[in-house]
Amino acid sequence: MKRALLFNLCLAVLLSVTGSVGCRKKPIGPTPIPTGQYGTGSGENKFPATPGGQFPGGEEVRTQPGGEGGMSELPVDPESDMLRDEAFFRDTVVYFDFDRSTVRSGERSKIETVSTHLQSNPAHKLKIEGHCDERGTEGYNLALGERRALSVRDYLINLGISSQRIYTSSWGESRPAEIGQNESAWQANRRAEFILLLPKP
Amino acid sequence: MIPKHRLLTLLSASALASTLIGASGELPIIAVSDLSKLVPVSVEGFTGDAGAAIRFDLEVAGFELTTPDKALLLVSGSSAGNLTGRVTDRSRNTLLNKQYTGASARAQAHAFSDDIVALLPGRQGIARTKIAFRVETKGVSEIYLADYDGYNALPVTQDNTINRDVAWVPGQRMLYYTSYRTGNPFVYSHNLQSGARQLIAGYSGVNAAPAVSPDGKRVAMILSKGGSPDVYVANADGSGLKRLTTTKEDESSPCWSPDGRRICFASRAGGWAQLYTVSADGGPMTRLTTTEASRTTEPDWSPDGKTIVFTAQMGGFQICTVPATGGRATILRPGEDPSWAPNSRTVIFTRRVGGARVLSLLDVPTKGVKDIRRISGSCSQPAWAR
Repeated sequence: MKRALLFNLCLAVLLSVTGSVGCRKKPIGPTPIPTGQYGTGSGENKFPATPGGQFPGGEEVRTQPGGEGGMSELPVDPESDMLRDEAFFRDTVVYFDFDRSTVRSGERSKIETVSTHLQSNPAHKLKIEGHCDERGTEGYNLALGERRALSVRDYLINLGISSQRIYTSSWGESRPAEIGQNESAWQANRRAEFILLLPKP
Repeated sequence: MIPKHRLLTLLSASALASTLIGASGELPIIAVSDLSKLVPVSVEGFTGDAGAAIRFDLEVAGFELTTPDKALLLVSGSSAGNLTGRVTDRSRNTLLNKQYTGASARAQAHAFSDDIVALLPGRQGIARTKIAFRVETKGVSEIYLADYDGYNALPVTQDNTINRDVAWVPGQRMLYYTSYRTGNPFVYSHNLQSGARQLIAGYSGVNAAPAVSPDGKRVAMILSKGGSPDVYVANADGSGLKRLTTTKEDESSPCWSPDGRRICFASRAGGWAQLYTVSADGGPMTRLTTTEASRTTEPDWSPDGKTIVFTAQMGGFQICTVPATGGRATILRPGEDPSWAPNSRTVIFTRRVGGARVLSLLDVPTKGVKDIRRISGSCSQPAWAR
């Protein structure tokens, strides 16, 4: 008990020196909330940014873009020049095991079908979109979906398709094929879909 | 029998305190040495929005609402017109006595709450902070901004597409996020004053999960243009891109150490998801051990640099913490995608309720949880402004 008291007294002295806590007695009176933290909602940027996320209370947040900035030496998305045919390979969907991105042997023939089409149609290109079930975190699933799409792409490259003809993307768990919290829905959602890219006429 | 709050020691003998402090007029100091103990507080006299906000703020901050006879701090005042607030100790010594003017009743209440929290040594109020998050409705998701308790929510984007992975530029009114508005996941910055948006990364494959460095000058991202999802770092405008990881497996969810030197992320390089760190200037990946937590993703480094909070997947998602140097993980409670508050004590995270997701606040030392105000749709990926 004595030790505890001593500790607290030391703490009290320390804190009084640093001034980090404690409140001087003063008469009750208005304590204006700094206008730098709570503006009147004019939407103007009158105040410097404050660390800690404190904003003027009524500050307008602009939701309409004021214009696109430059994209500093970024390549133009090549597939934007092509038409998406989502129906063509609608029934050719590659499915995956839980938390895996390797192509199951039973799924290879689907990729071979796609390869055959691309080989006989040199002007056609391909987009592979990876998806996940909801049993991964959102951050992880976006990467896992992309890894699945890339596994399928690797398989196509091994079959002789040029990497320049294949684009990949991931939707994570945002676009489930089947809604439900059971193994059948989860399996349906762990997939890679093919979108045929056609040259614009 | 140990008294319930034996570690809450109140130096209520003001004469003794002022003698020791050596300055007349100093008020007693409350020493709370065990952060995991709830601080009993009574709140009387406030009504409506202000009263609800004060009670919510204090509960989130590790206080326990009780009656005046059991309280260590007695909060009273009025919210009719401008808010007047008073805090005393059990011996009725006044610790705080203030009137608040301007802004809204809720804003005044939050300011008072922060003053109450600051009476405790080393504690920092968070009642006036902001959060950004993802709101999904019918296959479309947009970025929203709100007060930390979910009030005053506003959409930042209205793109009718999938926008996700929102991150703040520390200390600035600027967000980074992933948007599918062109059809592919690209990373954009978004100035909250002007509304101006700038493409930061639009390479082939995925461009996702931006995290801005503490000094605001660099951005870490996940890009797959190199053949698998890897961690990259670039200048804040996207220029000067540098690849930091080269695994064949996928990396995800980068975050920065507060000194800006290291980046923590999840990788499946070891066969399943584990946490790693890498120097922001490049170098080898180092495992961050999280003993007792497995399949670990979504790390967030506390602003004080000491603790990393993350999601583990062990028969459902669990919010866990681990010392930033690695070691034994503490499993806190079910939930996912945690983000630290500026006080390095409170965490906001996502909870799944049926098919939907809601955001909740977690007081890490006491493990207390409170849902923020519900917003229609499914809310996830919270990012605390700091």
